[in-house]
Amino acid sequence: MLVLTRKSGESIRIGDEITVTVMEIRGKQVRLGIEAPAETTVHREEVYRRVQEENRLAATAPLRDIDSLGEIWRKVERKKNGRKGS
Amino acid sequence: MKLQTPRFGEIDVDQAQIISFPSGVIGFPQVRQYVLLEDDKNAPFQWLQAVEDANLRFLVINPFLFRKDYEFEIPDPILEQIGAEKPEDVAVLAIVTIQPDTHRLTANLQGPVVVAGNTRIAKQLVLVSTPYHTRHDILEEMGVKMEAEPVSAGAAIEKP
Repeated sequence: MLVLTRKSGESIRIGDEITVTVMEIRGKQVRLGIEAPAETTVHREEVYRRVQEENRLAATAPLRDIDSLGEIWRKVERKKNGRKGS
Repeated sequence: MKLQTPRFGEIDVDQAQIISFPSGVIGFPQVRQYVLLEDDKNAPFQWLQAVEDANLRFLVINPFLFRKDYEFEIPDPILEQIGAEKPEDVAVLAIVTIQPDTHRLTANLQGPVVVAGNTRIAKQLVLVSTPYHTRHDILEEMGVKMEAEPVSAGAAIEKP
């Protein structure tokens, strides 16, 4: 990993189009400003990782024998409609 | 094109059915081509089946079926990337997880998959500043308390 030391107000540039600026350093927190092309998506790492992990979990559950979801769905819909009607 | 799937056996995939994900599904960047398969027994759930990897598939659902108020903004550059002219041209899918510990059916509403109807190009978004998270209990969201459900779905999950 490339490690650079920057002061508040200083920036780094990644490629030709992405600039990351240290806006403010306060105690243990650093505020970063990111300039990137509109099509570049920027995410907090932990949020991105959560989606990634959920995808992995969704993909790894052995689902091939599942065949009762339609039944469950209809049951729930019936319950819901029944309650609305009462 | 023939595709060997664990659930449906060999299926015939028409090139026109293919949905392409130029950057893959998050966590699976190398797999770019999928098909959306209907499944009578599990409707309205569907399968997003990878074409290049027969063992990779996601259970998906139209999120509006259980969250009518589900709402997020698709940034213009993303619309452009998938080739949709306006948000109305976009279909939304939520990836479903059957939680291995609780057997609950949860939908990832923080990482919706958007598909442009005209180009069949898709992308999984990660929503920021959103009330949605990665594990919405589908049956609970429908406002129905099911006792000990979905046991029948859970029972079908093989124990490791």
